[in-house]
Amino acid sequence: MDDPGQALAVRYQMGRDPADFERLVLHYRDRVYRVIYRLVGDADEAMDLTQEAMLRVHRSLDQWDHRAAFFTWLYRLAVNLAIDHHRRRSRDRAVPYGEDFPFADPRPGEVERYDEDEERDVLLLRVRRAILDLPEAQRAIVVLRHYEHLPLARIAEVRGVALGTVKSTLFAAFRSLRRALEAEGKEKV
Amino acid sequence: MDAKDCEGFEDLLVLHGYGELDAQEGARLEAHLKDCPRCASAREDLRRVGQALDTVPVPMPPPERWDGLAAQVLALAAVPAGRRRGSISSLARPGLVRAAAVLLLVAGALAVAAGLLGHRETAFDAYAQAIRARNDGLLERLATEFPDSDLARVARDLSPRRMDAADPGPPLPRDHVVVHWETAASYLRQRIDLSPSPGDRFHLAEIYLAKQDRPEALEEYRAVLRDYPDSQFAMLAGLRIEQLAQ
Ligand SMILES: [Zn+2]
Repeated sequence: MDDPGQALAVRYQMGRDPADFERLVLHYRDRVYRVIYRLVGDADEAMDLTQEAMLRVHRSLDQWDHRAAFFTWLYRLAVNLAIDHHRRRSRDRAVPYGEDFPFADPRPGEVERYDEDEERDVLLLRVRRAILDLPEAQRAIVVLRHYEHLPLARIAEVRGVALGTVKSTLFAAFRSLRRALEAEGKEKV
Repeated sequence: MDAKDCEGFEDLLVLHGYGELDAQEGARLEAHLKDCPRCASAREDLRRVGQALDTVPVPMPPPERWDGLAAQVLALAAVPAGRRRGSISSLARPGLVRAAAVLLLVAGALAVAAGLLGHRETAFDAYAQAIRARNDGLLERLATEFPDSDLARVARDLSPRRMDAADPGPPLPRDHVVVHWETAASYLRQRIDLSPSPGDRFHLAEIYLAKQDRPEALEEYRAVLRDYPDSQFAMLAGLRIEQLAQ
Protein backbone atom coordinates (compact mmCIF):
# COMPACT_ATOMS: atom_id res chain seq x y z
CA MET A 1 0.00 0.00 0.00
CA ASP A 2 1.78 3.17 -1.13
CA ASP A 3 -0.74 5.49 0.48
CA PRO A 4 1.39 8.10 2.28
CA GLY A 5 -1.42 8.38 4.83
CA GLN A 6 -0.54 4.88 6.01
CA ALA A 7 2.91 6.03 7.13
CA LEU A 8 1.40 9.11 8.77
CA ALA A 9 -1.08 6.98 10.67
CA VAL A 10 1.67 4.66 11.92
CA ARG A 11 3.76 7.63 13.00
CA TYR A 12 0.88 9.19 14.88
CA GLN A 13 0.01 5.87 16.46
CA MET A 14 3.57 5.46 17.72
CA GLY A 15 4.47 9.00 18.68
CA ARG A 16 1.15 10.79 19.28
CA ASP A 17 2.71 13.99 18.04
CA PRO A 18 -0.06 16.58 17.44
CA ALA A 19 1.77 17.80 14.36
CA ASP A 20 1.39 14.29 12.88
CA PHE A 21 -2.28 14.34 13.76
CA GLU A 22 -2.67 17.61 11.91
CA ARG A 23 -0.99 16.07 8.86
CA LEU A 24 -3.16 12.98 9.12
CA VAL A 25 -6.32 15.08 9.29
CA LEU A 26 -5.20 17.19 6.35
CA HIS A 27 -4.48 14.06 4.36
CA TYR A 28 -7.82 12.34 4.93
CA ARG A 29 -10.39 14.96 5.86
CA ASP A 30 -11.68 15.57 2.32
CA ARG A 31 -12.11 11.88 1.57
CA VAL A 32 -13.80 11.21 4.89
CA TYR A 33 -16.07 14.20 4.43
CA ARG A 34 -17.04 13.19 0.87
CA VAL A 35 -17.98 9.67 1.90
CA ILE A 36 -19.99 10.92 4.85
CA TYR A 37 -21.71 13.61 2.80
CA ARG A 38 -22.72 11.07 0.18
CA LEU A 39 -24.19 8.90 2.91
CA VAL A 40 -26.07 11.54 4.91
CA GLY A 41 -26.80 14.12 2.19
CA ASP A 42 -26.31 17.19 4.39
CA ALA A 43 -23.21 19.37 4.40
CA ASP A 44 -23.41 20.59 8.00
CA GLU A 45 -24.00 17.16 9.37
CA ALA A 46 -21.24 15.77 7.21
CA MET A 47 -18.86 18.36 8.69
CA ASP A 48 -19.85 17.49 12.25
CA LEU A 49 -19.55 13.80 11.55
CA THR A 50 -16.15 14.29 9.94
CA GLN A 51 -15.03 15.99 13.14
CA GLU A 52 -16.47 13.10 15.14
CA ALA A 53 -14.72 10.60 12.87
CA MET A 54 -11.38 12.34 13.40
CA LEU A 55 -12.01 12.42 17.15
CA ARG A 56 -12.55 8.67 17.04
CA VAL A 57 -9.36 8.24 15.04
CA HIS A 58 -7.51 10.12 17.75
CA ARG A 59 -9.15 8.16 20.56
CA SER A 60 -9.24 4.70 19.04
CA LEU A 61 -6.16 4.59 16.86
CA ASP A 62 -4.56 2.15 19.29
CA GLN A 63 -7.23 -0.34 18.25
CA TRP A 64 -6.02 -0.27 14.66
CA ASP A 65 -3.94 -3.45 14.53
CA HIS A 66 -2.51 -3.04 11.00
CA ARG A 67 -4.27 -6.16 9.75
CA ALA A 68 -6.23 -3.85 7.48
CA ALA A 69 -4.71 -0.85 5.75
CA PHE A 70 -5.27 2.35 7.71
CA PHE A 71 -7.63 3.80 5.15
CA THR A 72 -9.73 0.64 5.21
CA TRP A 73 -9.99 1.03 8.97
CA LEU A 74 -10.78 4.73 8.56
CA TYR A 75 -13.42 4.15 5.88
CA ARG A 76 -15.06 1.55 8.07
CA LEU A 77 -15.17 3.99 10.96
CA ALA A 78 -16.55 6.81 8.80
CA VAL A 79 -19.14 4.67 7.00
CA ASN A 80 -20.42 3.15 10.25
CA LEU A 81 -20.62 6.55 11.87
CA ALA A 82 -22.58 8.00 8.95
CA ILE A 83 -24.92 5.03 8.69
CA ASP A 84 -25.70 5.03 12.41
CA HIS A 85 -26.32 8.73 12.34
CA HIS A 86 -28.50 8.63 9.25
CA ARG A 87 -30.51 5.76 10.64
CA ARG A 88 -31.12 7.61 13.91
CA ARG A 89 -32.07 10.78 12.11
CA SER A 90 -34.39 9.05 9.68
CA ARG A 91 -36.19 7.58 12.65
CA ASP A 92 -36.42 10.97 14.36
CA ARG A 93 -37.49 12.98 11.37
CA ALA A 94 -40.21 12.40 8.85
CA VAL A 95 -38.15 13.80 6.00
CA PRO A 96 -34.62 12.48 5.68
CA TYR A 97 -33.34 15.37 3.58
CA GLY A 98 -31.11 18.09 4.92
CA GLU A 99 -31.80 21.80 4.82
CA ASP A 100 -29.07 22.26 2.27
CA PHE A 101 -31.20 20.46 -0.29
CA PRO A 102 -32.77 23.50 -1.87
CA PHE A 103 -34.92 21.36 -4.09
CA ALA A 104 -35.90 18.74 -1.59
CA ASP A 105 -39.55 17.86 -1.40
CA PRO A 106 -41.10 20.25 -3.87
CA ARG A 107 -44.64 20.87 -2.79
CA PRO A 108 -47.41 19.60 -5.06
CA GLY A 109 -47.71 21.89 -8.05
CA GLU A 110 -44.33 23.46 -7.47
CA VAL A 111 -42.57 21.31 -10.03
CA GLU A 112 -44.55 22.81 -12.90
CA ARG A 113 -43.15 26.21 -12.10
CA TYR A 114 -39.56 25.22 -12.80
CA ASP A 115 -38.34 26.72 -16.05
CA GLU A 116 -35.94 24.89 -18.34
CA ASP A 117 -32.86 26.06 -16.47
CA GLU A 118 -34.19 24.51 -13.35
CA GLU A 119 -35.01 21.25 -15.01
CA ARG A 120 -31.45 20.11 -14.51
CA ASP A 121 -31.83 20.78 -10.81
CA VAL A 122 -35.02 18.79 -10.67
CA LEU A 123 -33.21 15.89 -12.29
CA LEU A 124 -30.41 16.31 -9.82
CA LEU A 125 -32.89 16.18 -6.98
CA ARG A 126 -34.29 12.95 -8.37
CA VAL A 127 -30.87 11.34 -8.52
CA ARG A 128 -30.06 12.46 -4.99
CA ARG A 129 -33.34 11.18 -3.76
CA ALA A 130 -32.88 7.86 -5.53
CA ILE A 131 -29.51 7.49 -3.79
CA LEU A 132 -30.79 8.51 -0.37
CA ASP A 133 -33.79 6.23 -0.73
CA LEU A 134 -31.53 3.18 -1.04
CA PRO A 135 -31.19 1.07 2.09
CA GLU A 136 -28.00 2.09 3.94
CA ALA A 137 -26.07 -1.05 3.06
CA GLN A 138 -26.75 -0.53 -0.65
CA ARG A 139 -25.98 3.17 -0.53
CA ALA A 140 -22.68 2.52 1.25
CA ILE A 141 -21.56 0.15 -1.46
CA VAL A 142 -22.58 2.48 -4.27
CA VAL A 143 -20.70 5.33 -2.59
CA LEU A 144 -17.55 3.30 -2.02
CA ARG A 145 -17.57 1.69 -5.48
CA HIS A 146 -18.90 4.43 -7.72
CA TYR A 147 -17.60 7.57 -6.03
CA GLU A 148 -14.60 6.35 -4.08
CA HIS A 149 -13.53 3.81 -6.70
CA LEU A 150 -12.74 1.14 -4.15
CA PRO A 151 -12.48 -2.38 -5.58
CA LEU A 152 -15.27 -4.67 -4.37
CA ALA A 153 -12.80 -6.85 -2.46
CA ARG A 154 -11.70 -3.79 -0.48
CA ILE A 155 -15.31 -2.81 0.11
CA ALA A 156 -15.91 -6.25 1.59
CA GLU A 157 -13.13 -5.50 4.10
CA VAL A 158 -14.51 -2.05 4.89
CA ARG A 159 -18.00 -3.41 5.45
CA GLY A 160 -16.85 -6.59 7.12
CA VAL A 161 -18.95 -8.79 4.81
CA ALA A 162 -18.25 -11.47 2.20
CA LEU A 163 -17.40 -10.46 -1.37
CA GLY A 164 -20.52 -12.25 -2.58
CA THR A 165 -22.65 -10.12 -0.29
CA VAL A 166 -21.04 -6.94 -1.61
CA LYS A 167 -21.82 -8.05 -5.16
CA SER A 168 -25.43 -8.99 -4.53
CA THR A 169 -25.94 -5.74 -2.59
CA LEU A 170 -24.48 -3.76 -5.47
CA PHE A 171 -26.76 -5.56 -7.95
CA ALA A 172 -29.78 -4.78 -5.82
CA ALA A 173 -28.74 -1.14 -5.57
CA PHE A 174 -28.42 -0.79 -9.32
CA ARG A 175 -31.76 -2.48 -9.93
CA SER A 176 -33.36 0.06 -7.57
CA LEU A 177 -31.54 3.01 -9.07
CA ARG A 178 -32.45 1.94 -12.58
CA ARG A 179 -36.07 1.51 -11.63
CA ALA A 180 -36.22 4.81 -9.72
CA LEU A 181 -34.61 6.83 -12.47
CA GLU A 182 -36.60 5.16 -15.25
CA ALA A 183 -39.87 5.63 -13.37
CA GLU A 184 -39.04 9.28 -12.76
CA GLY A 185 -38.18 9.72 -16.42
CA LYS A 186 -41.48 8.23 -17.56
CA GLU A 187 -43.48 10.24 -15.04
CA LYS A 188 -42.12 13.40 -16.60
CA VAL A 189 -43.26 12.59 -20.16
CA MET B 1 -31.26 -16.81 -25.20
CA ASP B 2 -34.08 -16.84 -22.70
CA ALA B 3 -34.86 -14.08 -20.23
CA LYS B 4 -33.58 -16.11 -17.27
CA ASP B 5 -30.04 -16.15 -18.63
CA CYS B 6 -30.25 -12.47 -19.32
CA GLU B 7 -30.93 -11.68 -15.66
CA GLY B 8 -27.55 -13.10 -14.73
CA PHE B 9 -25.94 -11.10 -17.46
CA GLU B 10 -27.53 -7.90 -16.27
CA ASP B 11 -25.80 -8.30 -12.92
CA LEU B 12 -22.54 -9.06 -14.68
CA LEU B 13 -22.98 -5.80 -16.60
CA VAL B 14 -22.63 -3.88 -13.32
CA LEU B 15 -19.39 -5.67 -12.50
CA HIS B 16 -18.17 -5.23 -16.06
CA GLY B 17 -18.83 -1.50 -15.88
CA TYR B 18 -16.53 -1.27 -12.86
CA GLY B 19 -13.83 -3.44 -14.38
CA GLU B 20 -14.52 -6.19 -11.85
CA LEU B 21 -14.84 -9.10 -14.30
CA ASP B 22 -11.88 -11.24 -15.23
CA ALA B 23 -10.91 -11.45 -18.90
CA GLN B 24 -12.77 -14.69 -19.54
CA GLU B 25 -16.05 -13.53 -17.98
CA GLY B 26 -15.72 -10.21 -19.77
CA ALA B 27 -15.31 -11.90 -23.13
CA ARG B 28 -18.32 -14.15 -22.46
CA LEU B 29 -20.41 -11.11 -21.60
CA GLU B 30 -19.29 -9.13 -24.65
CA ALA B 31 -20.17 -12.11 -26.86
CA HIS B 32 -23.63 -12.27 -25.33
CA LEU B 33 -24.16 -8.52 -25.77
CA LYS B 34 -23.52 -8.81 -29.51
CA ASP B 35 -26.46 -11.21 -29.89
CA CYS B 36 -28.83 -9.84 -27.24
CA PRO B 37 -30.53 -6.49 -27.80
CA ARG B 38 -32.18 -6.78 -24.39
CA CYS B 39 -28.87 -6.89 -22.53
CA ALA B 40 -27.34 -4.29 -24.86
CA SER B 41 -30.13 -1.93 -23.90
CA ALA B 42 -29.69 -2.81 -20.23
CA ARG B 43 -26.08 -1.79 -20.61
CA GLU B 44 -27.21 1.59 -21.95
CA ASP B 45 -29.57 1.98 -18.98
CA LEU B 46 -26.78 1.24 -16.54
CA ARG B 47 -24.53 3.68 -18.33
CA ARG B 48 -27.21 6.35 -17.88
CA VAL B 49 -27.54 5.51 -14.20
CA GLY B 50 -23.78 5.89 -13.84
CA GLN B 51 -23.88 9.25 -15.60
CA ALA B 52 -26.75 10.37 -13.40
CA LEU B 53 -24.73 9.44 -10.30
CA ASP B 54 -21.84 11.49 -11.64
CA THR B 55 -23.93 14.66 -11.72
CA VAL B 56 -24.33 14.85 -7.94
CA PRO B 57 -21.82 17.36 -6.54
CA VAL B 58 -20.31 17.46 -3.05
CA PRO B 59 -20.27 20.95 -1.49
CA MET B 60 -16.91 21.21 0.27
CA PRO B 61 -16.76 22.99 3.64
CA PRO B 62 -15.60 26.60 3.73
CA PRO B 63 -11.90 26.91 4.63
CA GLU B 64 -12.62 28.86 7.81
CA ARG B 65 -14.48 25.86 9.18
CA TRP B 66 -12.05 23.36 7.77
CA ASP B 67 -8.69 24.82 8.75
CA GLY B 68 -8.99 24.36 12.48
CA LEU B 69 -10.29 20.79 12.29
CA ALA B 70 -7.28 19.04 13.81
CA ALA B 71 -6.97 21.62 16.58
CA GLN B 72 -10.67 21.41 17.36
CA VAL B 73 -10.52 17.64 17.54
CA LEU B 74 -7.55 17.67 19.90
CA ALA B 75 -9.19 20.32 22.04
CA LEU B 76 -12.40 18.28 22.17
CA ALA B 77 -10.42 15.16 23.01
CA ALA B 78 -8.66 16.86 25.87
CA VAL B 79 -11.60 18.52 27.60
CA PRO B 80 -15.02 16.89 27.59
CA ALA B 81 -14.24 13.59 29.33
CA GLY B 82 -13.37 15.48 32.52
CA ARG B 83 -16.14 18.02 32.12
CA ARG B 84 -18.79 15.38 31.52
CA ARG B 85 -18.07 13.89 34.89
CA GLY B 86 -18.70 17.35 36.24
CA SER B 87 -15.31 17.89 37.77
CA ILE B 88 -12.56 19.73 36.08
CA SER B 89 -10.31 19.09 39.06
CA SER B 90 -10.51 15.34 38.51
CA LEU B 91 -8.18 16.00 35.61
CA ALA B 92 -5.55 17.26 38.00
CA ARG B 93 -5.63 14.47 40.52
CA PRO B 94 -5.69 11.03 38.96
CA GLY B 95 -1.99 10.48 39.33
CA LEU B 96 1.09 11.86 37.75
CA VAL B 97 0.99 9.80 34.60
CA ARG B 98 -2.56 10.77 33.76
CA ALA B 99 -1.89 14.41 34.63
CA ALA B 100 1.19 14.43 32.47
CA ALA B 101 -0.75 12.90 29.60
CA VAL B 102 -3.48 15.52 29.94
CA LEU B 103 -0.88 18.25 30.03
CA LEU B 104 0.74 16.90 26.89
CA LEU B 105 -2.61 16.82 25.14
CA VAL B 106 -3.37 20.36 26.20
CA ALA B 107 0.03 21.53 25.06
CA GLY B 108 -0.45 19.60 21.84
CA ALA B 109 -3.83 21.10 21.13
CA LEU B 110 -2.51 24.56 21.77
CA ALA B 111 0.55 23.96 19.63
CA VAL B 112 -1.58 22.73 16.77
CA ALA B 113 -3.95 25.64 17.23
CA ALA B 114 -1.06 28.06 17.25
CA GLY B 115 0.30 26.52 14.08
CA LEU B 116 -3.04 26.66 12.34
CA LEU B 117 -3.83 30.12 13.56
CA GLY B 118 -0.40 31.12 12.35
CA HIS B 119 -1.65 30.50 8.84
CA ARG B 120 -4.36 33.10 9.26
CA GLU B 121 -3.90 36.10 7.13
CA THR B 122 -3.22 38.79 9.67
CA ALA B 123 0.03 40.51 10.51
CA PHE B 124 -0.44 39.79 14.16
CA ASP B 125 -0.86 36.06 13.69
CA ALA B 126 2.27 35.93 11.58
CA TYR B 127 4.01 37.99 14.24
CA ALA B 128 2.82 35.85 17.11
CA GLN B 129 3.88 32.73 15.28
CA ALA B 130 7.33 34.16 14.60
CA ILE B 131 7.82 35.21 18.19
CA ARG B 132 6.49 31.98 19.60
CA ALA B 133 8.87 30.03 17.44
CA ARG B 134 11.72 32.47 18.14
CA ASN B 135 12.15 32.46 14.41
CA ASP B 136 13.47 35.62 12.82
CA GLY B 137 13.06 34.08 9.38
CA LEU B 138 9.33 34.26 10.02
CA LEU B 139 9.72 37.86 11.13
CA GLU B 140 11.22 38.67 7.76
CA ARG B 141 8.37 36.91 6.04
CA LEU B 142 5.98 39.04 8.05
CA ALA B 143 7.68 42.17 6.79
CA THR B 144 7.33 40.91 3.23
CA GLU B 145 3.76 39.65 3.48
CA PHE B 146 2.32 42.55 5.44
CA PRO B 147 4.61 45.42 4.41
CA ASP B 148 2.16 48.10 5.56
CA SER B 149 1.43 46.85 9.05
CA ASP B 150 2.90 48.40 12.18
CA LEU B 151 4.13 45.03 13.27
CA ALA B 152 6.05 44.54 10.07
CA ARG B 153 7.83 47.82 10.69
CA VAL B 154 8.63 46.79 14.24
CA ALA B 155 9.78 43.40 13.05
CA ARG B 156 12.00 45.00 10.45
CA ASP B 157 13.56 47.32 13.03
CA LEU B 158 14.10 44.71 15.65
CA SER B 159 15.25 41.85 13.53
CA PRO B 160 19.03 41.58 13.53
CA ARG B 161 18.76 40.43 9.95
CA ARG B 162 18.22 43.29 7.55
CA MET B 163 15.83 42.50 4.77
CA ASP B 164 18.40 43.34 2.11
CA ALA B 165 21.46 41.94 3.86
CA ALA B 166 23.30 39.03 2.34
CA ASP B 167 24.58 38.05 5.78
CA PRO B 168 21.82 36.41 7.83
CA GLY B 169 23.44 37.50 11.11
CA PRO B 170 23.04 35.94 14.56
CA PRO B 171 19.74 34.57 15.90
CA LEU B 172 17.33 36.87 17.71
CA PRO B 173 18.67 37.68 21.22
CA ARG B 174 16.49 36.98 24.23
CA ASP B 175 16.06 40.69 25.05
CA HIS B 176 14.59 41.32 21.66
CA VAL B 177 12.10 38.55 22.19
CA VAL B 178 10.92 40.18 25.40
CA VAL B 179 10.63 43.53 23.61
CA HIS B 180 8.64 41.76 20.93
CA TRP B 181 6.19 40.44 23.48
CA GLU B 182 5.66 43.92 24.90
CA THR B 183 5.14 45.32 21.44
CA ALA B 184 2.80 42.56 20.48
CA ALA B 185 0.76 42.97 23.65
CA SER B 186 0.30 46.70 23.21
CA TYR B 187 -0.52 46.25 19.54
CA LEU B 188 -3.11 43.64 20.45
CA ARG B 189 -4.67 45.77 23.15
CA GLN B 190 -5.14 48.55 20.60
CA ARG B 191 -6.75 46.14 18.20
CA ILE B 192 -9.05 44.77 20.87
CA ASP B 193 -10.11 48.31 21.78
CA LEU B 194 -10.99 49.00 18.16
CA SER B 195 -12.71 45.74 17.41
CA PRO B 196 -12.74 42.95 19.99
CA SER B 197 -12.37 39.36 18.78
CA PRO B 198 -11.91 36.05 20.58
CA GLY B 199 -8.72 35.32 18.64
CA ASP B 200 -7.03 38.54 19.69
CA ARG B 201 -8.05 38.14 23.29
CA PHE B 202 -6.80 34.60 23.37
CA HIS B 203 -3.50 35.67 21.87
CA LEU B 204 -3.19 38.45 24.39
CA ALA B 205 -3.64 35.90 27.16
CA GLU B 206 -0.97 33.76 25.51
CA ILE B 207 1.37 36.72 25.56
CA TYR B 208 0.79 37.27 29.27
CA LEU B 209 1.49 33.62 29.81
CA ALA B 210 4.70 33.87 27.83
CA LYS B 211 5.69 36.83 29.99
CA GLN B 212 4.88 34.61 33.00
CA ASP B 213 2.21 37.01 34.18
CA ARG B 214 -0.24 34.37 35.38
CA PRO B 215 -2.94 36.59 36.94
CA GLU B 216 -3.27 38.71 33.78
CA ALA B 217 -3.21 35.62 31.61
CA LEU B 218 -5.91 33.91 33.67
CA GLU B 219 -8.08 37.00 33.53
CA GLU B 220 -7.85 37.11 29.75
CA TYR B 221 -8.54 33.41 29.34
CA ARG B 222 -11.59 33.78 31.57
CA ALA B 223 -12.74 36.76 29.52
CA VAL B 224 -12.55 34.64 26.35
CA LEU B 225 -14.58 31.89 28.02
CA ARG B 226 -17.15 34.35 29.30
CA ASP B 227 -17.51 36.60 26.25
CA TYR B 228 -17.11 34.04 23.46
CA PRO B 229 -18.36 30.76 24.91
CA ASP B 230 -19.07 29.29 21.45
CA SER B 231 -15.78 30.03 19.77
CA GLN B 232 -12.98 27.50 19.38
CA PHE B 233 -10.86 29.89 21.44
CA ALA B 234 -13.15 29.30 24.41
CA MET B 235 -12.22 25.65 24.28
CA LEU B 236 -8.54 26.50 24.13
CA ALA B 237 -8.90 29.06 26.89
CA GLY B 238 -10.64 26.45 29.03
CA LEU B 239 -7.73 24.12 28.49
CA ARG B 240 -5.26 26.79 29.55
CA ILE B 241 -7.23 27.56 32.70
CA GLU B 242 -7.22 23.90 33.65
CA GLN B 243 -3.53 23.70 32.88
CA LEU B 244 -2.79 26.75 35.04
CA ALA B 245 -4.84 25.33 37.91
CA GLN B 246 -2.60 22.28 38.13
ZN1 LIG C 1 -29.31 -10.95 -22.73
